[in-house]
Formats: sequence, structure tokens, C-alpha cells
Amino acid sequence: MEPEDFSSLSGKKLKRLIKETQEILDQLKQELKARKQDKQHKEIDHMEEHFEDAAHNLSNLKKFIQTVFSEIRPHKK
Amino acid sequence: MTDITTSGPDTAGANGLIIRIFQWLFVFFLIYLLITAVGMIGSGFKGATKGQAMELFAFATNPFIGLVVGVIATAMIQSSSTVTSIIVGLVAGGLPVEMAVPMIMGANIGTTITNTIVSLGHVRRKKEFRRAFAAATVHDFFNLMAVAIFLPIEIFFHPLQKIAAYFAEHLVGGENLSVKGLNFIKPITKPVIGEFKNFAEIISMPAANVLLIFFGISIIFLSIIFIGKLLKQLMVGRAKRIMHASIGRGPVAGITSGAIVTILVQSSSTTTSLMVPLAGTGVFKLKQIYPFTLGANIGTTITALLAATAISGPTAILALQIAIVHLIYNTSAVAFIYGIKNLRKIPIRGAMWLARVAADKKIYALLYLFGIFFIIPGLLVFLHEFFA
Repeated sequence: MEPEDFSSLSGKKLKRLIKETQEILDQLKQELKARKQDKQHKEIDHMEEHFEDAAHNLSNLKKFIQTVFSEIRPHKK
Repeated sequence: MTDITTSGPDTAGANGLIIRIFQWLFVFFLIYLLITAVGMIGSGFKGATKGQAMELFAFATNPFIGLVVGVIATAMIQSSSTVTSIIVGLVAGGLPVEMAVPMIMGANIGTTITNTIVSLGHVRRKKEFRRAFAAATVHDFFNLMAVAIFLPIEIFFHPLQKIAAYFAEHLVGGENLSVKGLNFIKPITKPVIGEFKNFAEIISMPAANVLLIFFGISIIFLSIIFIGKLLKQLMVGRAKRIMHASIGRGPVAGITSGAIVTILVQSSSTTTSLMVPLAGTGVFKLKQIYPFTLGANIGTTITALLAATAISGPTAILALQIAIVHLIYNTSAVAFIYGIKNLRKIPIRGAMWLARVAADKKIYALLYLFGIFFIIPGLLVFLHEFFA
């Protein structure tokens, strides 16, 4: 992106532009934050499923050990 | 004519209410069993050691061995609440508080295995696994760091024991030496403990006290499992509301909500494991998960305090002292490590580094898991016994 030439703008106008840009930037940040938080709220709504997932400890360990061995095996060949 | 379309939901609602009432009654019954079982351990241990508990636990006079005992015991049964309740019972039965403190610290480390195992379930997707593993191991790093800082201080100056003793003295009544306002506990637990004692004597008179300890440990283990299962169902709605309320409110709200959710479900493993999939999806950042995990450390201390209410008589003060040690230790570790910016970052950096390494080569995650929780602690015990 080419840098714009602001040399013709008065100091007052520059200050106004900075203020406006800052306001838009704050609004954009706020929007992004709100979206992120919205996703987090949605994820918390699935808490029952997460509780359920967390209960399957040993099957997790078994699945993991299988993956580790499948990762090691090709190196032996 | 009855309108079945309207009576249906009403009946379902009424049934749901009745089920909930029964579930709550069962929770209270299980808490009663838990308290009674702590009393059983205290009574059995006192009878088995005949005041020689110090000699029986001579191997744990070395605080590092006590720490290792706490780590391995908790990692094996995956419940710090069970181990801390047992420790409270043992202290009531004569185990010196000084020996019990490193065990309590070890229980804090041992309990972190559960969420680490939960994170392994994300192994099939590399990025997700990295995030989940980091969210799990940040708890490990924090607890290891807390022990590295607080255990040497405790060995030399005993601040945790001294502060806890001060509070325990003020909380325990002078007349019959049971927790003030909870003097009704003994009359309701004594008959059941007596029945179990009789039963143990019928099985084997010489081993009656050991059997009583065994019954106590089994009952604590089972009651904590069922309390956890029931509270998860009963409290999930409230836990959700607490977590919703903490979003976007900063670390103190995260710590507080982590502590409250843990108190509600009576299990730090449940709370910290819950964080793993939330981090795995990428929706929650490690920085947001971290305070919540620390809150779980504080919330879990409620179980030992509850267990301490089971003890009356001269050892009530000691049982309460060790329970308060747990509370003060976990609270001050959070305040100290999380309160100092440079220290706060260390567990995050450690967890991120380990997660990167483990995501690239999964074998390192497996080595870490067995190394930290079993091989290194086991080796330390072996070397200690060998050279002793």
C-alpha cells in the first residue's frame, strides 16, 4: 500500500483525522473483542459435553499411546 | 378430559424436581460418609500405631520423600481431595503435621496429571493438541514452582505450620477441642465408626485398625467420586453462569470463578480438565485459562477443611491445622507467583515450550507424563531407601 501524502493538510485537519481514525480503531477493537467473547460464551454453553469429554481419561491415554507408537514405527524401517 | 399437552411438561418438571431433591439428599449423605470416613482413618491410625505414628512414617521424615508420597498417591488415584482428606485423617491419628505438609504439597502436583491426560485426547490435531497440552501443563509448572519456592522456606522456618496453628487454635473450641459450632459432628459419626470398627474386629481382631483405615480410605475414595459426579449434574448450570460472568473481566475474576466452580463441583481436576477443551479449540487463550486454573487450586482446599470437621478431641486442632496449611499454601502461592509479573510468566513460557516440543514429537509428552508423576518420584524414593 502506497503511503498517502498528508503534507497539504492543515494541523487542525490532521488532528481531526487522527481522532476519527482512533475512534474507528477503538470501535473495530471493540467489535473484535465482542466477537471473541461471543465465541467464548458459546463454548461455555457446551460445558456438559466438555465435562463428558474430560471423563474419558483412560481412553485418551490409550489413544495417545497408540499415536505415539505409530509415530515411532516408521523410523524403525 | 385431561389436557395431555399441558400435563406432560408439568409431570416432567415435577419428576425433575423430585430427582434433584434425591440427588441433593444423596450428596449430603455422601458428605456425611466422607466426614465419617476421615474419622475412621483417624481412629484406625491411632489404634494401629499406638502413638508410634512417627516411627511408622519414619521414611517420610525426609520432606522430599513426603512430597513424593503425595505426588504418587494423588497421581495414582487422580484425586487430590481424596488424598488431602486421608492426610487430615492420618494427622488426627498421630501423623505429625510437619511430615504431612510436604505430602499436601505433593498432592497439588499429583492432581495435575488428570488434566494432562485429558489433553492427550486432542492428539490427532496438532495445533489443537499443542494448545490443550499447554493449558494442562501450565498447572503443572505452576505447582512445581510453588513447591520449589515454598517447600525450602517451610523446611527452615515453618511459616505455613505456624500461621495455620494460630488460626486453628482460634477456631477450635477450648472445652472439648472440636471445631467451634461443629460439635454435633462427633455424635452423628461415632455410631457408624463404631459399627465399622466392630465389623473390622469380626473379620480380624489383630488387623482391625488397619482394616478400619482401609474402610475409611475406600469410603473417601468412593464418596468423592460420587459427590463429583452428582455435583457435576447439579451444578453445571450455576458453573456456566459463573464462567459466563467472568468472561472479559480480567484475571482476578478468573481466579475467583475457578475457585467457586471448584467448590461447587468439589474437584480441582474437574475444573482444570474442563479448561483443556476450551483452550484446545483456540477460543480461550492460555493467558485466560491460567488464572482459572489457579482458582481451582484455592477452591480444592475446601475438602480438607470439610474433612477436618470430622475430628474432635485433642487432635482436632492438628487436623484443622493441616487443612488450613493447604488453604494458606495454595492461596499464598497464587498471590506470590501470580502477583509478581516476572514469576507469573514462567509457567506460561514453560507450558508453551513443552507443548511445542510435545506437539512435534509426541513421545516427549509421554516421557514427561510418566517421568514427572511416576519415574522421577519413584526413583527418588528408591534412592532414598537404598542409601538410607
